[in-house]
Amino acid sequence: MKESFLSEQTVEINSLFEDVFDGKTPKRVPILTNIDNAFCLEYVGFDLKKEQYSIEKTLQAIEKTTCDFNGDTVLGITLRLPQLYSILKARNFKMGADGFLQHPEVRGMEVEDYDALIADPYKALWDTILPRIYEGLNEPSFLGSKTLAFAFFTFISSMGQLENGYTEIASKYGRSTYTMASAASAEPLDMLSDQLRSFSEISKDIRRYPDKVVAACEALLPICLKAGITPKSNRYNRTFVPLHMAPYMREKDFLKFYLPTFSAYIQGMADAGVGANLFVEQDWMRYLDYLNELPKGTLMVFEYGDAKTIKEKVGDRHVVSGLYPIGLLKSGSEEQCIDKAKELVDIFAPGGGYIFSFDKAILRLNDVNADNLKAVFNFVHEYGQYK
Amino acid sequence: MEVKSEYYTNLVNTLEKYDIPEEAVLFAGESLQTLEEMLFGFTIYLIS
Repeated sequence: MKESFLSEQTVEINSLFEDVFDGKTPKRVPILTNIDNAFCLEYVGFDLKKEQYSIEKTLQAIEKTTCDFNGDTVLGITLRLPQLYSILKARNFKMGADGFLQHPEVRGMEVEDYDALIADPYKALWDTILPRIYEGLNEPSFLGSKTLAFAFFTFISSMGQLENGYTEIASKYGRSTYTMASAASAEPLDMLSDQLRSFSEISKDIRRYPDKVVAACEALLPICLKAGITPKSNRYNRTFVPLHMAPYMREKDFLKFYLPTFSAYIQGMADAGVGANLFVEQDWMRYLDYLNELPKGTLMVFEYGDAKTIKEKVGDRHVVSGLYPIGLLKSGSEEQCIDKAKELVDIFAPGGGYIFSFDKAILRLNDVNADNLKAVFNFVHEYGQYK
Repeated sequence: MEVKSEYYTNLVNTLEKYDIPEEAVLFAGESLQTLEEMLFGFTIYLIS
């Protein structure tokens, strides 16, 4: 990316990511983090119950955090807007006593809704599913319309402000404009499982209504693809795809219910020139051969697994990342934290195709020791240079 | 792979639905379709 409004340093850091996604060895191992804006708000001493409602304060916190930590990207992904969930009287995101937005398991869809979902998923979402998750949409006559108008405006205006703010911060502090999630979308079975049928119900559906589950995944595929391919999407502005269900499935169920539409989804994005950033949640070691078959250059951020086996099985064809345990950043000494970073860089970096990242998103300030986080970023900057 | 839904309209359908004259397509069509696409993005956000 060489837009004239970006600083020289931002263009240089962007080139690290571009080289990795172009299959070239970059000058240095780039660092891509998934840090929640709640971490930033707490880092600067703001109260989640108050300042979290303000986009301006959120951007202030993100700017200060980005300035203080030597990461390659703007630190602080803002996915959740508390005011939006309040307007909609949401059941899926509730503010806890300390102000952090919790995500209780919800079920917006019942078994009898499968046929409507299969016939027209977008219509079924608005007619049946969303009103079950967001009670504000059920308000009568004008009040329901007013709720939707308020929520839509809040979403569009907040995301617009955030996007402009992120670009300004990136350029001001010489950080990359690329992020973990230029866009975000689930693959079909995960979309069906998460807030539609819920994790616990989908496991029963797979046994009781297998044909409905397969048909629903096929019906959701165009929706997932459209969500994953935005006008700004490309090989560098990539789509974040968190993977949930597969590690909890038997392999024969994975092959029948998960893999077909998952593969078609990633392939569909690749055909449109869009890169996928997979968060490979839980342990996927038994599925590495299937992951390797995905379109070349897919970024895979692993939560668990053996680094050497991952490098050997998918590292030639794909971009590997993750595995650094954020738990160590909380409880380990600085030396232990740096030793772990060295261990992973030594395994993953040779030959390129590696982006340094953690095993999980860092959500709260208390998740890590901030000094250890700074030390690890500084270490990767120095040690991750390619000769 | 296109989304086919009673509740989603592509650009051609949008122009027809809102009765946009041919000479105004450049000015009105795109902005109306942008709203359609924003609403789609909002929908996905709500189930994410």
